Amino acid sequence: MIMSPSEMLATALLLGAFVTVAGAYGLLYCVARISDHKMLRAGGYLSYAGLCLIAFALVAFTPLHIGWKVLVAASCAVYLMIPPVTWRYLARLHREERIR
Amino acid sequence: MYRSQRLGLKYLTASTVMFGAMIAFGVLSSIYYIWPGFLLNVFNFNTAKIIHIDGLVIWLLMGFLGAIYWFLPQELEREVEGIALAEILFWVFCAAVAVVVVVFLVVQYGSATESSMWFINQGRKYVEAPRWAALGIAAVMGVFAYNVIGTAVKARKSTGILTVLIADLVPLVVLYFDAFPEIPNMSQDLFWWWWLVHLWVEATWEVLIGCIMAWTLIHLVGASRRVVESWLYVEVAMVLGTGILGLGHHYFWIGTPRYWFAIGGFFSALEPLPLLGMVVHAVYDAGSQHLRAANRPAFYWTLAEAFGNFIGGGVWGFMMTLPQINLYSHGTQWTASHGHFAFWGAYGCGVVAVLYLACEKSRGYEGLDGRAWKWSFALLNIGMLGMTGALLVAGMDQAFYERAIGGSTWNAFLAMQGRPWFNESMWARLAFGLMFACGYAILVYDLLAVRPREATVSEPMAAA
Repeated sequence: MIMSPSEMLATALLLGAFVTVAGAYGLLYCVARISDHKMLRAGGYLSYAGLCLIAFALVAFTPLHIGWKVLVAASCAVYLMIPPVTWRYLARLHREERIR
Repeated sequence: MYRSQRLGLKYLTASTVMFGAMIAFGVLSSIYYIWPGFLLNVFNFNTAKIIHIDGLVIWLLMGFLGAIYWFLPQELEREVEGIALAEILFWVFCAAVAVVVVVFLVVQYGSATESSMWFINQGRKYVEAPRWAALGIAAVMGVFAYNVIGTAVKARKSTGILTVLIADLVPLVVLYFDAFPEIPNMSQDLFWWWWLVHLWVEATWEVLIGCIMAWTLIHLVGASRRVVESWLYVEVAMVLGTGILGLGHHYFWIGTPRYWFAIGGFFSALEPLPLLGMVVHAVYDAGSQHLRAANRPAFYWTLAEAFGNFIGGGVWGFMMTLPQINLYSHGTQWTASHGHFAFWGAYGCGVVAVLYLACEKSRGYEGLDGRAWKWSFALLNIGMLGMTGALLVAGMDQAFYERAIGGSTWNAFLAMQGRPWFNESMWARLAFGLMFACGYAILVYDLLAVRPREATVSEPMAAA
């Protein structure tokens, strides 16, 4: 489907915001884990809520092809898992290394 | 110090010089957008842009070679095999680059003949160097591969990082031969040409910088080899898994079958995922070091590499990678914005980190700090952010008015040149480009200001 000029611009900005907020979530998640700060943890959750909102806007209001909408929704779920899974993996590696 | 490390320092010095040349010609290229008649009939825009882009490839390539010649003997605890040949080829490489730049400056372009291709310009973007020079680069890469593999064989030893590096050398060398074919059909030519450009940059170079950053972390913060190697395997698998078929996003509008829309869009949309993993890793390491390292500039440049890669490659890339958007954004300043930020984040910051690490070790310090590197760090990164922001605005303006409304006609292109947002963005890009150039000047000053001394002195900080 060919997008109109304004749809193209709005969709591109939403896609950019989608990854930016995913990065903010990842960053705040990690910093909150390091500092054990409640506000930072809340900021991480808020960022993820923002990510879900942007994903919803991309799925509901943009003329993206259905395949891309599924990809955006799936990415939203995967982004939720990346920081904790990566963190646990790194922590386990470091723990095993200390034991060795 | 090993001979190989001295060679590594030479490569890193040459890389820094090429970095400066790239910036100078980048600033020059940006002036043409503001005054199109600038240097009319004296020096054309295309040549300035060629030196800017080829300079980018060469400064990074020299930086990678320098980093590996620096780390390799430490890794295997022996001199690099065939080091004499590598030393000769370093001078051949530098001489070839100098001759090519002189030819570009003086001759600039030739007629559409075989001799022009051999002696002036191959005419293929990113690999414009004339054929004789391209053969020289292939020889340098071949000897480099021999140095690495030969040393590992002689030492009868390999490490995880080295094994990944050796596996990467095969496509790194073989793909470069893709710079040579002459295919008259433009679609076919571009199809294979992207193998060189994309697979070098988003596959083999990503692995190469992964290995270099792994060694950097070991030497910089004393990171555990096992941890670094385990993470390197995961990272390489993820980057290659998304990056190889991410090649498809370059195939959208060059006459390839429609299925490339799905393949290219899908895999390049996945590319930000491993980049987020790298950000998590960087923050984890920074947190475990409490943001403290003896060599602070190298440490901060290593962090900048992870964040820059995510923002430049991930955010900027995802904005324009889906075919419905890319239909309008392809080939606009939007693409240039993504290219600038992604190269800087993924590779540039990593090479600067190695420059500081090699500077510290080669001059006998136990750590580096000071004020100059902070200025350089801020000016280079703010300059890059400003340039890419300005290019993004210009590119979105182009995609909106010239492509989507104007229908990509010649008329729309000309009308675009007079649009205020486009022009103001070009001014902003020049201003931020000059800021970036100031950051480079301070970087060079800072690196030169570190005077050699005995390595055993326990003073932790050296005024840079």
